[in-house]
Amino acid sequence: MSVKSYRAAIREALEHEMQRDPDVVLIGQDLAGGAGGGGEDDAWGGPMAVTKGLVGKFGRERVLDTPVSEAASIGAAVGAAAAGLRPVAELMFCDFIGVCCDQILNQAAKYRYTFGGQDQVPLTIRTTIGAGQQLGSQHSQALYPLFSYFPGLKVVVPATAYDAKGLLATAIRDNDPVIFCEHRLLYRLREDVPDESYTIPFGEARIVEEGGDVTVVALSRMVHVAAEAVRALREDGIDCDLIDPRTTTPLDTDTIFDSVEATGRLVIVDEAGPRCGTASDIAAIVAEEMFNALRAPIRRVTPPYAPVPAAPELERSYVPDASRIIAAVRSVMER
Amino acid sequence: MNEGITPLLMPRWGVDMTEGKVVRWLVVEGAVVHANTELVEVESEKAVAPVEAGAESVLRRRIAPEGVMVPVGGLLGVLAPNGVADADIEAFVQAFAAPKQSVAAMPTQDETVTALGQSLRLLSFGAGDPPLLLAHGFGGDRRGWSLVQSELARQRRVISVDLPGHGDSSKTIASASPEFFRDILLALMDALGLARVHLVGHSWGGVLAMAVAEQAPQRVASLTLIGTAGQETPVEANYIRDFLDAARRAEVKTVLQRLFADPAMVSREMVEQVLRFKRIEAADDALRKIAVMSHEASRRPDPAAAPSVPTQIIAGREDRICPLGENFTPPQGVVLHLLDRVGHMPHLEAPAKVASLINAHVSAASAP
Repeated sequence: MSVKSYRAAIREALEHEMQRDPDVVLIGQDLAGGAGGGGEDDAWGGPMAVTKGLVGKFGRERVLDTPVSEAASIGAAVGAAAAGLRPVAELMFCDFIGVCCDQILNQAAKYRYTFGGQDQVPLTIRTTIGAGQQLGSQHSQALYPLFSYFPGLKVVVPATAYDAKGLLATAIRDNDPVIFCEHRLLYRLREDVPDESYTIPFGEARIVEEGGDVTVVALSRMVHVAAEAVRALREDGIDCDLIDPRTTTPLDTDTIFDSVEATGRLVIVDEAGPRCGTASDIAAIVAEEMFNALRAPIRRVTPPYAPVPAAPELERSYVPDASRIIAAVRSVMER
Repeated sequence: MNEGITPLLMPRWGVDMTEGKVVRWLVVEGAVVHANTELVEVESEKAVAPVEAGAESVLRRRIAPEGVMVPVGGLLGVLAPNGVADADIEAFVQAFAAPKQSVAAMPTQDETVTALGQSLRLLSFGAGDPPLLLAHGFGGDRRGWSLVQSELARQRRVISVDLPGHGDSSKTIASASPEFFRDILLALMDALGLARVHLVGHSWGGVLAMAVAEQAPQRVASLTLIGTAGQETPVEANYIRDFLDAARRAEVKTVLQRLFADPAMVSREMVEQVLRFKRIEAADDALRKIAVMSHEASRRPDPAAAPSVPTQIIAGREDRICPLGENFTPPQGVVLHLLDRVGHMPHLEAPAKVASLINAHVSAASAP
């Protein structure tokens, strides 16, 4: 056990899985460094510095640089997985899915189904999500609801270093394509993480806090923002259950249902937008299955239905903060 | 002039405990109390439990009012026989300052020692040898003693260890046999330069402690077995299998609830801690090997056999994991303490009681 960052925990999972299984290979831009010329080895460790050191340990045969073409690199990873490898591809920003949609949504996600279960695509795509760095509307989205729309994909949104390591190991060993969404503002988050290899099953939410008055469901970085709100509310005598689903596909509805059964009140906090998002999805499922348990309307706390702004002041007001969560919780307590 | 005056202090029930709340007094001033009379109920973050008198005396003063927070080592009340003058007690109270070396400041040491090639994590607490050495049960770790360790450390050094395959010790175990774990405990004593220890073992840790006492009785000053299985008291057959197979939070919670008389004692944190441990692949592998070896061990020491060292057995009347059979009678010289409304985890379910039983046993064994 030692204190590790979210970034280091992800790197450790990659290293352990590469040691464990020679079929695990990394595919992405600048992972090995010096691609296409006489550049420096391992110059970056990938654009997010997550894979730093791995090319030195496993060599260029297993840490593969690609040209700056997501259509090519993700396509190659899907093909490698279909052909029997267990690739981990890096998609620098989830926003770039626009140029490799067919490879992911029509090929990887459909392969097992199309071939009647006789074939599989054991692919993991690591990608980054989230606003807060003034990177503009094309580099700041949280597109995991898009991935969860497609049956055939599994979708992971880890909020902590401990979860990131265990869930990535599960993702790599999974025989279906998994989209692993790393929030860029969490890379420096540090906590105690075991040094040994471990896995966390998909579809098991983490109960972050137990309160009993209101159920708060939050995802990815919003778990930390919601935790701040929950602490402040506790001072005022409102005790919340805080639930982090950890994976949006599969979704642990049982844990959410159990909590709502007791509280009758649900607030969902999502950094993805308000239309067709994860918050809307969970709200619909709970409304359908748990209507009789509800004592107040379900409230969603999301950004507005608008692109992510680049200006710092606008971006700050765009992303949900603790005060909006507190206001939503208070509003359901009044009913 | 202070002869016979004993301060009643805020106990420390966990490594993290720095203060406690006085919930209510259970005894009036002037009452004659016995060693195990419960005087005052104290609430920490982790438990609400009574503080016992510890010796026969009279409760002369209730210092800390109900509802207030008192730091660990702070004065709750004063015990003294009726012969002691009120003025002396008043002087004692006036002179009482939070102890220079308060229990809160008692040295604790988290260290790693290598024994038989395995890295072992220990927590040492307090001072005074021969120390108490605490061996946890199957699937447990050193943190399981947190509610008793500091009370025990008032009298002597207390060492709790993560056995191989557990806690923060090596997860890859060289062997899974009881003999190996017995030798680990002996090698640990060698590594720490300890000629003798007072051994305390819970459940499987008790089996190991008995094996140490049988192998090297001269090195065991006393033995306390808590919820320990023997030939007369087999482990409930399905528990180990269910514990190993429980993969998800709800399953782990249900399994852990079988350990306690009151299932509400299984907290979310406890479930999370066990899940995190079990999910480490090397730990799961070690547990499965230990389970097989312990099951196959054809002969194991039995608490019903006459002991070679001073021995006491502490068991919960509602222990469903290692229930003492109807006909269980301890052998000559062994004291059996059966605790009401307690299951397989007396050191968590009745920590104050267990700490005082261990302290009393150790004191008796240490008497010339």
